Order: sequence, then structure tokens, then C-alpha cells
Amino acid sequence: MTHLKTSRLPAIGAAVVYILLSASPAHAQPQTSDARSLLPTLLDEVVAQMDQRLIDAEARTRPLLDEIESQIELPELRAPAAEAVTAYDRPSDDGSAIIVEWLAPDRKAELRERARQQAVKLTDNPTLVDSLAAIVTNELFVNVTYLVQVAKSSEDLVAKSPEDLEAGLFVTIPVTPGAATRKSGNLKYFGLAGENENYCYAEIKPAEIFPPQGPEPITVQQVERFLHDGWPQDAEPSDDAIPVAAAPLQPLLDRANKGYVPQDIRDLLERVRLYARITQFVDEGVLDEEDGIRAITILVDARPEGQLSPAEKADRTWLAGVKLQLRLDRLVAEGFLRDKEAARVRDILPLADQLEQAVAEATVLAESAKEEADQAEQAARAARQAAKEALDEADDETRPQAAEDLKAAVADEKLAKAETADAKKDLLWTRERVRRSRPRQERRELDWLVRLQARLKECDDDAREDAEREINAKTYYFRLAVSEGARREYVTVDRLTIGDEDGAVSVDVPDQWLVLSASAHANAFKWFRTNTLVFALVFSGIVLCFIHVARRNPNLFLRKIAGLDAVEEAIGRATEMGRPAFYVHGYGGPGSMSVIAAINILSRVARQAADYDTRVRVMNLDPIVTAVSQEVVQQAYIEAGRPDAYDADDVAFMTAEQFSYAAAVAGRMVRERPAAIFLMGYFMAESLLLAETGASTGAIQVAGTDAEHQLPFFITTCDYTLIGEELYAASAYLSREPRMLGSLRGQDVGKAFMMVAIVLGVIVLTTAAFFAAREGHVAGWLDHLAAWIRHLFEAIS
Amino acid sequence: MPTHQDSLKRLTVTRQIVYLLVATSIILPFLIKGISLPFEAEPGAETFYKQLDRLPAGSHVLMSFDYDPPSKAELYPMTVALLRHCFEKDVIPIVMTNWPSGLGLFEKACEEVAAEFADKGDKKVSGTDYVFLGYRPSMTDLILNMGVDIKGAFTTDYYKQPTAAMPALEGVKSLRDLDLAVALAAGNTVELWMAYGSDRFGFPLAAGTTAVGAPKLYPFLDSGQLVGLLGGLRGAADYEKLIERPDIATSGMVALSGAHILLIVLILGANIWYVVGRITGKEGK
Amino acid sequence: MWYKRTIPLILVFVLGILAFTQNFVPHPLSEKFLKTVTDWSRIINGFALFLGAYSLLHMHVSRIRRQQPGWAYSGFVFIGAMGMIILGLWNDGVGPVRASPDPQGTWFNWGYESIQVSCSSAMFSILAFFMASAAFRTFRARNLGAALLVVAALIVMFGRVTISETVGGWLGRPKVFGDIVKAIMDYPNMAAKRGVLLGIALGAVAQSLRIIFGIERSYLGGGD
Repeated sequence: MTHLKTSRLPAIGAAVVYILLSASPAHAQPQTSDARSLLPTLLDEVVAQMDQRLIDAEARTRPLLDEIESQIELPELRAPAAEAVTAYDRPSDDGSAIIVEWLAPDRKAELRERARQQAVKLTDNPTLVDSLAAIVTNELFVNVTYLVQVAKSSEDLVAKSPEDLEAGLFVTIPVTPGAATRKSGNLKYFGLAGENENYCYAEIKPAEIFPPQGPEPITVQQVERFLHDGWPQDAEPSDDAIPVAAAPLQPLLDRANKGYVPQDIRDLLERVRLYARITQFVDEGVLDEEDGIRAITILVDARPEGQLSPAEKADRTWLAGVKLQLRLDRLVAEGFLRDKEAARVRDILPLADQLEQAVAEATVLAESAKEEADQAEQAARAARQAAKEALDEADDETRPQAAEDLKAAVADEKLAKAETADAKKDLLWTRERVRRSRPRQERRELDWLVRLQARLKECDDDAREDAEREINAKTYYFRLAVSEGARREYVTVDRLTIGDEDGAVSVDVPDQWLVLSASAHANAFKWFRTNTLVFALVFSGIVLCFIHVARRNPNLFLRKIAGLDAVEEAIGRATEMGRPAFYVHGYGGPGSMSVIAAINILSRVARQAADYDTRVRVMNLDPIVTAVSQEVVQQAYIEAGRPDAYDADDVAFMTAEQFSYAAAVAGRMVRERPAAIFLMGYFMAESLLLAETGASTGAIQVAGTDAEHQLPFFITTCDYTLIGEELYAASAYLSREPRMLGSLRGQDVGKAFMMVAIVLGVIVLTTAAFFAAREGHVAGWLDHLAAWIRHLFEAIS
Repeated sequence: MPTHQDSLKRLTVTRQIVYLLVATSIILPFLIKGISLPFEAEPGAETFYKQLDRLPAGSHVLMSFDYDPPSKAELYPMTVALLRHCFEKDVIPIVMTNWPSGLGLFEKACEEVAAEFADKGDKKVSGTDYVFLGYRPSMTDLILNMGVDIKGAFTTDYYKQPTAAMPALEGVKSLRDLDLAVALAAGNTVELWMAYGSDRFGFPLAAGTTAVGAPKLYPFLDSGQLVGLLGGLRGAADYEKLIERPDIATSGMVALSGAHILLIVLILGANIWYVVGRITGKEGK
Repeated sequence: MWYKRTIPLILVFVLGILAFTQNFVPHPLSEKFLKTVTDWSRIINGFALFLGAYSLLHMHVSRIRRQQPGWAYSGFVFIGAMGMIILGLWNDGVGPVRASPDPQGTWFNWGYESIQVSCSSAMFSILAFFMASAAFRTFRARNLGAALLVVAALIVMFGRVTISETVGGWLGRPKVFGDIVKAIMDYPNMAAKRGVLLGIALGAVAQSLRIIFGIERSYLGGGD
């Protein structure tokens, strides 16, 4: 300890004091047991006193609160001002949404102000006035709901009657102001979306509100036939059909065909459409009447998948096959299928149905087998417990028999558990079991059908996405209202501008509701990622600049990296000792940075080994990396003029498993006792295994990894270690190629920038925090600066 | 004068004694019944727990278990505890893996935890209450694929059930629709989930990792890129404590404490010997 | 041949720029591009299995044929691999005889649980001993830095286990060691990790740039 510098003593002393202080209680507490038992009592007393004070305060203020609440006039329901309502395409998106944004009247602040005015009449105490105002506001304030009405045309908004705004064709989206909707959606600059207490916004996704419809509109006749003819004799109409039957059909269908109905009605009408097609095909003889009735029975069942029995699920799958059958002619006409393929589909569909029925039956059997097995296991468990109790209560005479019984009960329970496990496995794998029991030809046909359906689904998805894009690209019209209970106030304007830009005319139109229009379109750039792009481009520019500089001046300074300087020493040692060198790759495929860096080092190691006529054995975890390593080593031997010395078995794929790899490599180290070992790449837990084993063989070890959590193990066991980015710098260091050196220098500049940014950022943010409690020009300015700095380095997804 | 051979022999004997002491300190607590060390969950584990606990019933949580049998001791208890928590909250775990050698472990975990709840009368059905998607190769491409279409990336689950109409995946088209994702990792898969998954597609990501890998993830927890972090067997024990189901991890705490105390004693002893040697002028080894 | 290097370099450049740009473009075409490229990449990666299997087979067959030292271990590779393949395919993993030793499943499961899981866990658990001996040998307070390292390591080792709460309870504050460990992990550890991570990230970015612009070509194999 004599070499300890005295200048460091104060720091050590401070650290020790800090540790002791933080380990001890902040306020010295009496250490006696009497004091410890007193403390809870004292605390209880204090809490009780505080409670009593609150009760007293409540008693004193309640009459005042009641007085204020009886006198106060609540803020009237007011719609936002027309100038503060906008609708625009959501920025930086894929064109799927429109934003409607408005500045909501601050009714809470208004209520608070009115409460203050009333409180001032009752008391002079300013603190009491503020408290009373706050309490009254909390008690009386009721949040409003905003309604965004969306229509496909401005006429639809008031289709029936201009006076009766609710009679139009539109979809209403309620928006309750809260944390999620109190944020400006307008991403200014590179995404500085400020949180404004009074701004509300609604995200309108046209494709979700008006999803793609079927090809033909639904007619009243189709619905009536569905309602009156569609039921099989024994079936009851589903609950969903009843609202449809009750409503006047034509207006409902007009709304539905335009897309202005809720999702559940839309789903029901889809089933009507499908029903119409099924009955048409039955009438035309394409589908059997029996199949038709079965399809309709399944169609009217709207229960979710989770509530269906296995047989009902099989029916649903069969219905999907029927839908495919109904589409076959159209698919042939569109060229998606040939006639032969369409015929093949018709032949396979009954097989698919048989498979589903078999799966359903097998599932039912498997479920009942599992139930039985569960019951048997429970019985066996109970029997074991009873046998154990019997053994505990047995006397000397009956003990041997009781022990035998217990042994038998344990064996029975074990068997029952095994059977339960079997039954569970059977249930989970039912479908696959049944499928494999089918003849090979049938399985092949069914697989073909599955592939066809997958391809069809992909095409349908693409078609649906195209349709959604078309829907999103249209112009939509919006109206905004505020609602509180039954009351509703629309946003209105007093002047309207009619006509286009050249001949625009402004007219007075008192209380005309405001109608906004907007359309969504796909944007080309995510503005909220501007900072990332700028940093990436600037950094890339710096690197490329320095590459250019390095070409002119190749003598750029690079500090010594001992691990890389030791490569030649290690290979030389291996040559002298007549033993091989080992090169051990880490994890990762050819796309991994550490693997690419390791391959760079391998090329130098292999070249030197070839020059010195030393064997280098390369061990790989990845097959593609193996292939690349083989090429690299072979090339090294060719460049050294010794192509015949290359042995492909020296560069081998060991295994892709972590500890199998570690065991294989460690085994080879112990058997072949290399003189030099290079461990390069990304390593995990096997790092210590490999390094310790290598150390025990007496080899010189050079390790390099970007897995920083394994560095301590390498540092303690290896002779040289490349830490983190030193591994990436290897190619530049070893080759001294100007382009590589330049990129290293550019990297260092980037690092310097980060260090400066961190220091400056810490200073600004700390100062801003310090001034935050004080008001004034400086505090406000610092606050803005701090927000900007935070935002500059924020990555938004 | 001690020779090199003597030093080597002494080192070997010392090493063997250390190995024996370590083995004893770990095995002994399991043989002696009745020892327990009470503990409270650490704040980090509580943060993780709250992320899952606040989710309403029917939420979807993606669980990527990216480890294999060697890391079973630390990460399997976390797996079981997380699945138990999901089932208690009626949250739907969507289980997958990027390490094929662990498939058997995760299948077993799903089945055993589901069976536990079935025994209590709360049946959990594969495909409805949870889904085990299994393994697909090429992790980074898979994550990017899942970011656009999960069902396209996994057309069937592990049991060959088609995912297209699976009730457990209803309402989940892509990674953006997830309520939470959890990555349990023995390697660097958490960083890949962050870079290619949560940072890109904007879903909350929590992580569990081996004790040696936890410190490297603290910066991500601090920056908000991770919403929770569990580290090693202690993290698993903390989680078991929070869900009030002490299991393997909790029972391992005594052994863990014993091993750590032994290491501390050995290191302190070695350093005292070293310092004494330096003071008295000998070359302490 | 010029095309052996030029075409891959062009491909790397074009796809690298496109992938970088894709990050910043929200247009649906950009998403489609991403999906298509990742689909193809997953397909191509699957073929890597054949390369690995061939390399493995070739190496071990050569070792057996030449009867190199330790060739019997190469025989075990084949016994193990073929054994598990046969068990996996025979009767869906159930194997030739229904009642496997594993009460929970099939012969394949038994092989997995009893051999792979057990052996892998055993290999991992060896680390406990290696770590103990490495720590015992190398954790010496040779200088101030090493002394601070030892002290921090001892505190963290103690604070992370549950016995520290018992000892803390005796001192009047059960969480004291946990708080100290948290402070060490939150401040010096996090600062150091951040520094290393930033360096590695910048290094990875620079390396990616070199690969995209064709400066780094080692992944192509062969010479420059």
C-alpha cells in the first residue's frame, strides 16, 4: 500500500464516509428497544391528529362549499371555435389516417375562475379561496364528449334534412378528452409533437370506418329471402337477424351499401350476400340442396370460434371450402386457375371435409380420454394419500401390508400420470395424427389444396390492401360537435367562402355548421426520424471524408493495439514449438459485425501461418461462416505460394450448439495442445470454458469480443484481449489500408462528438433543472433548450 | 526454493479444494431441510411485474423464450412464473422461440402450467387461451416479418394448427398490436428484439436474462427502451415472490447465498494472504 | 473472374442503401419491399443447413478413414446424430417400443431430456467451478484500481443474494445492501456499459458503411 498516492486519500475518505452515511438511517433513531416500541405509538398519534384536523377543516369548509355550489353558474356547453378546428392528412405515415384536431374550450379553467369569484365573496383568505375553488371544480366538473362525424360526401352529412343534422349519412366517432387525445398530432419539424393541455385530436382511419364492400349491393329481396326462407326447418333465426328484420329495410340497405352501418350489421349483411350466392348455386344445380342447407345452417351461426365444438369447427372449415367452390368459376375467368385445377379443387374438397370430420371425431375422443385420464389420476392420487395415511396409522402388525399398499398406490399414480400425459399429448397433436393416418396420395392432394388456399389468401390480402388504399385516398368530410348527455352543440361558422380561388365569394351565413374535408395520402418520409437520418448522414459523411483524407495522407496515427501486434508473436511461437494454432470463431452468421471482423483477422493469421508453414485449425459455429473461412484460408495459402499445403479439414464446422461447440473445441485443445489460440467473435457463457481450458494447455491466447459481459473472463484468462471496437478496428490495423484507417478516424470523430454532446447536454439539463423552480426569462429559455436537446436525441418509432 | 512443478502442483491442489468447497456450498442447502432466507422483491422486478399486472384480461403478450437447456437453471423458473402470471390474469401469452434446441423445454412449460390451471378448474386451451408458435429460422428476418404480419410469419403453430382463424391471435395482425412483449434471453437476442422489434414497431418490451447478461441491459432500462428487466435466479425468485408462488428459484436462494458467501470468503482470504505477504516481504501467491 | 466480386458488391451496395432508406419511408411500397426481402432471406438461410451438415459429415468421415487420433469420438457424432434422427422419425418419436423411460413422453423426448438437457446443463454448471477458481486466482488488490474492483465485486456479490437482507435486518435496514448494489449498478456500472455500448455501436455503424461501400470485402472470401 506504500505506493498509494496521498492525493487520492480525500476521495477515498469521502467515498467511505458516503457509504457509511447511506448505510445508516438519515435521522439517528434511538437504538433502545423502548424507543423502537415508542415510535409506532408516536406515529399513530400524529396520523390521528392529522386526520382530526382534516375532519375539522372539512366541517368548517362544507357550508362554504355548499354556498358556492348553490350560487355558481356552470359554464355553458360550447363548441370549439371554427378557426381552431382543422383536418389534415396524418403526417409521415403510410396514407391510412386523417387527423381532425381542435382547440377545446377550457371549461375547467372557466369553472375554477367562477368558483374563485364566488369564494372571494365569502372569505378574504387567498389560500382558502384557491382551495375552495379547486374543490368545487373537482366536484362539479363533468367531462364532455366530442363527436366527429365522418361522411363520404358533404351531401351525405345532411342527406335528408338540413335542420335535422342527425338524419344524414355519416359515422360518428366519439372522442373523450384525456391523456391519449390531448396531444397535437401535427408532427412539426422532426417530430416535436408538443403536449398541449387543451388540444384534442382524433385519428380517422377511412379503411376501418368504411371497409371494402362486396362487388354488388344487397337488395331487399335478398334480405327478405334470408329472413324468411333461410332457416332450415328446425333452426331458430339468430339474434342478430332480429334488428335487421325490425328496421325499415330499404333505408338500412342504402346506408349499408354506402358503408354507413356498424360492424355487426355489416357482418350480418355479408352473410346475407353469401346466402344469396349459395341459394343461387343451389337453384342452378351447382350445389346439392343438402349441401346448401348445411351451408346455410352454418352461416346463420355467428358465435365466435372459441365457443364452437370440434364438429362445428369442422363445419366452418367445410363452409370455407364451399366459399372457395363458389369462387372457382370467377378464379378461372380471371386466369388464377386453369380448368383442370378447378376440377382438382372440386375433387379434393370432399376429402378435406372428411379430414375435418375425422379430426373433430378424434378431438372429441381425445378430450374424453383426457377427462378419463384426469379422473383416474385424481383417483390414484387420492388412493396414494389414503395409503399414506393408512401407513401412518398402522400398527406393527399391519405396517408391512400398509407399506406394500403404499408402494402399489405410488406405482399406480405414476402410471396414471403417464397416461394423463399421453392423453394430453394426443389431444394437442390430434390434427397431425389424423392427417398422417390418411393415405399418402390423399395427403399430397390436401397439401396442394392448403398451398392453393394460402396463395389465394395472399392474393385476397393484396386485393383488400389495394381496395383499402383506394378508400384511404378518397376525400372525406367532417363535422365536429360537443356533447353532454342529450345536449349537443355543433361547430359553426358565420361566413362561408363559395367558389374556387379565382372567383371566390364570401357570404354571411350565421350558424352554418362547419364542414371540413381532407384526404389521406402516403408520405415519402418519416419526419419524426429526421434527427436519426441527419446523424447517420453526418457520421457517414465524416467517415467518407476521412477515407478520402487517408488516401492522400496514409500515415494516420493509430495507437498500439497489443492484441493485434501479438498475432505474429503467437504464430511464431507455434512455428517454433511445431504445434498448430487454433482459431475459434464466436457466434453469429455472416451478417454479424463481429464475425466479419473475425474473418478479417483470420485472413491475416492464415497468411502468416502459411508463410511460416504452420497449421492453423479454424473452428466454426455457422455453416456459411465455415464456407467463407475455407475460402479465406485457401486464398491465404495461394497468396503464400503454397496452395498444396491447404487442407479443407483444417477449417471445419463443429456444431451450432453452444456447449456442444465448447466441448468439441475444448476437447481438441486438450488433445492437440496448440501453441497459440485465437478466440475472436461474439461469445457467451462458453467463453470462460474455452479460455480456461486454453490456459491449462499453456498456449498463448489472444481474445477479441464485442460481448462486453464476457470481457472480464477473457481479460483474466487470456494474454491479450481486444475490447469491443478494437475487434472492428482489426482489419484497418492489420492491413494499414488508407481507406480502412480513414474510417477508423471518422469513427473517433463521431465518438468525440458524442462525448461533447453528453457533457454539454448534462450541463444544460442540470442548469435547467436547477432553475426550474424559479420563474423568469432565464428559466423559460432554459426549459425550451432542455426540451429541444432531449428531443434532438430522442428516437421515435 | 519452490520449483515451477511445485507451484503447478500447489495450484492444482488449491483449485481442487476450491471446486470441492463450491460443490459443498451449493449441494448442502438442498440436503438440509428447513432453511429459508426471507426476502423482498427488488424494485426492478416489481417494475416488470407491474407491466404485466396492469394488463386487462384478453390482452396479448408475446413471449420469446430464446434460451436452451444450459440456461434452464436461471431462465426456466422465470418462464414458468411469467406463464403462471399470464394465466392468472387471463392474458393470452403468444409463445415462440428463436433457439430450436429449447423447444422441448418451452412446450413442457406451456403444457405443465396449463395443466396446473386445469387442475384448479380454470381450463387453458391451446389456440384459445395461449398459443405456442414454435420456432422459425433467421431471427432478424422473422422479427421484421412479424412486424408486418405475424400470421404470415407463422402460418401454423407448433401443433400444426393453422393460425389464420386462431382465437388466441384475434386482433393481433402484427407486432404493433401487442400489449407487451417479453424476451427471455441467454444471448444477445434482447438487443435484436429492441433494434428490429420494439424500436421499429413501437411495442413495449421487457426482458429477462441470465445474471451475467443483466448489467449490459441496464442502460436500455434507463432509457425506456426496456420497460422491465429480470436478472438471473434472483430475478426469477423475486417474480415468484410477487405472484405469491414460491417455486424452484425461491428454493435456490439459500444455495445461491451459500455459494456467494463462500466466494466472498475465499476472495477476502486470498487478498488478506496477499497483503500479509506483501507486508512481510514474501511473494504472496 | 470480375463478376465473382463485382456482382456481389453491387448487390450489397444496392440492397444496403435500400434497406437503410426503408427505415425512413412510410409508403406501403416500402413495407412490401421489407416483407419480400425478409421472406427471401429466410428461405435462403434455410439452405445453410445443408452446407453445415456436409461440412460436419466430411470432416468426421475423413477423421475416421484416416484413423486420426481421437477418431472414435467422430464415431460418436454419427451414433448420436443417427440415433436421434431415427428416434424422431420412428413412429413420430414414440420409437420402436411404446413405453419409453420418460413417463411424460416419447423416446425422442427421453433422448432430449436425459442426454441433451442433462449434458448441456452439466457443461454450463462447470462454469461455476471455473468462475470460482478464476475469481480466487485473479481477484487480488494489487493496486488501487484492482482494490476498488474487489470491493465493488464483493459488495455486489453480497447484495444480490437474499442473505444480505437478513444481515441488513440485523443492522436495522434490510435493504441497505440492495440499495448500495443498486447505486453501483445504476451509476458506475451503467456509465461504463454505456461507454462501451456507444463505442461498439459506432464501430458497427462504421463497419456497416465499409461493407455497403465495398471497402470491406472479407465476407466474400478469398483475397482483396
